[in-house]
Amino acid sequence: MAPNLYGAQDRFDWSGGYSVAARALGGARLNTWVQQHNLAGLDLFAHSHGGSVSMVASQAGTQVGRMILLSCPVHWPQYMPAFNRVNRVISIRVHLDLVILADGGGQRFYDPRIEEHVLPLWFDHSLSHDPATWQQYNVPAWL
Amino acid sequence: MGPLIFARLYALKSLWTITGCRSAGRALVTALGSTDEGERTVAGMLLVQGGKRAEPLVAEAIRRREHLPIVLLIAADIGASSLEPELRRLTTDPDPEVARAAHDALEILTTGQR
Repeated sequence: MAPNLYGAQDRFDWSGGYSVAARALGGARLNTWVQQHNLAGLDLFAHSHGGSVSMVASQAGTQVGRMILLSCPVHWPQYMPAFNRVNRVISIRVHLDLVILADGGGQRFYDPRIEEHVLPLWFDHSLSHDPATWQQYNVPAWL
Repeated sequence: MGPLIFARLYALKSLWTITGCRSAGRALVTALGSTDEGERTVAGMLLVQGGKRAEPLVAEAIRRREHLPIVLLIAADIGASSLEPELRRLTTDPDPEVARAAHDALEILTTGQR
């Protein structure tokens, strides 16, 4: 089992701000955090624009095993993974996510290098990171 | 968050940005404290999309200490450099979440200005 880095005391988090600048800062910080912890090749589970932050980090040099994007707004090519530094990119979302609609992002990725999975659920941006959803729809099987 | 809440937030944003109705903008600020994660997120996004128009609402919310961590980030996201002294003051706030958000906001402001 992989260590749960998210629960560690010096875990990575970012501001969660709504601007390009906030995401740029988050991505740079994530890249630094991964280097400092010698975690090249780690799996990243990222919700919403956390996915954009992961992509910025990969562009900055972070090596990623699996990049799992949960309800990530699509702003292509502004935010795209550095595919040469990521083993797999998996996107999991619901139908017509209202938060993504407000964000102005696209609802789905069309690049064939990204494995796209759409849950049989509508509107709710939070359901993709809800443990009950993961159990009910056997999400781990997609990873 | 369902479509009705979403439609309400959009209606508030339209009213605020088209007519300048301050109470509609204030209702968006209030929605930042919703228990619904989606509603909070959309309210924040719509305020940021309002750009500089949101600055007086954000300044007022900071004065009242309303929804402080997120309001500080919104101040940075809209590039409200006039609020920089307030952000600087809040970096020493006794509430660690507020102090941290103020630090983040200052960094975002600086990054956005580059």
